[in-house]
Amino acid sequence: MHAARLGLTLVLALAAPDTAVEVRTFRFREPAVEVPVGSEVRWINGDEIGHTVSAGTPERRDPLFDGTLDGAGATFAHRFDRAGTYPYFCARHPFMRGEVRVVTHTEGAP
Amino acid sequence: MSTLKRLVTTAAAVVTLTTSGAAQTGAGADLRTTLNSTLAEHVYLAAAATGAALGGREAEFKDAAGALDANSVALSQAIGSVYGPEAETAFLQLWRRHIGFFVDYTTGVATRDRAMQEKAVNDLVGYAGDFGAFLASANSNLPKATVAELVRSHVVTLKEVVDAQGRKDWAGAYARLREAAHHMRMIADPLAGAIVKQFPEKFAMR
Repeated sequence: MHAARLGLTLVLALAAPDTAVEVRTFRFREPAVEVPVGSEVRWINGDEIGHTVSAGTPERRDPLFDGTLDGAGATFAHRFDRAGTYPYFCARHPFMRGEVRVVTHTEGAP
Repeated sequence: MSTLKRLVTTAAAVVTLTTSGAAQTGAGADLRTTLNSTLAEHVYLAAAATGAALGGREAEFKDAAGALDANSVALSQAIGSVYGPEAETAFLQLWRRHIGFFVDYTTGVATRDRAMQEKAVNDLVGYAGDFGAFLASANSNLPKATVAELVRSHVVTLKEVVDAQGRKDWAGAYARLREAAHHMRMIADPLAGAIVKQFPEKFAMR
């Protein structure tokens, strides 16, 4: 059972699809995304102005990642190798917040 | 070219870009009226708040600030009626930021803190770019640079009101206040026109 679950986790990690989060009109269009361990999440800026994708919250920053989205079309990606919940925000516009939930199995998986 | 003439030219260019026949009718006219009245009210309430703050009238400032925030909510609801609740929330948060920067500027004037005033002005100039980007993102009929220039002008005209209030130059303050309120039409009209152009079915004649 344990081996089977471990195998499923590995398969999901290897096959983890990229997840894209669009940034538009000063918000993360998908404010909470759930991805399997090993996934890369990519943020794509749709605004004609710079934003950041900074781990943590404005009150409690996390050095895990701190990407910049310099203008329209700019992207930033981060790979999540450990399960957990990762809040993030835009350092230029701290009201912009989002969250990545990294799970060892996908919702609805057997 | 004078600043005023440049502003009028800029606003006229945006109106030409964005106004369609439907802008003058039915829901389009309602939207234009709502944006004009709400944005002019924003200026009057902001000046009431800064005047009370500079005059040390704390209770009046608190109530003026409350009314100003209610105006901000009404404006964001107008935006939300077009672009949805998430855009409404983002707009409100963005709009409140510039009011916070104006509070900083007013505090700098009250305390004669030049560094605080300069930082607030820089924040407000940066905010103009943010606001232009927000509207350009929501509506491609609104060029970011043009909107930012119009918002910068809003900042400058309201700053002149605060400066005059700080000097207790009441005649100047009220003259600048009228100019600042009139200027909001240069933002409201193009914004209404651009929205009507973006959603012609929603704003067609009833």
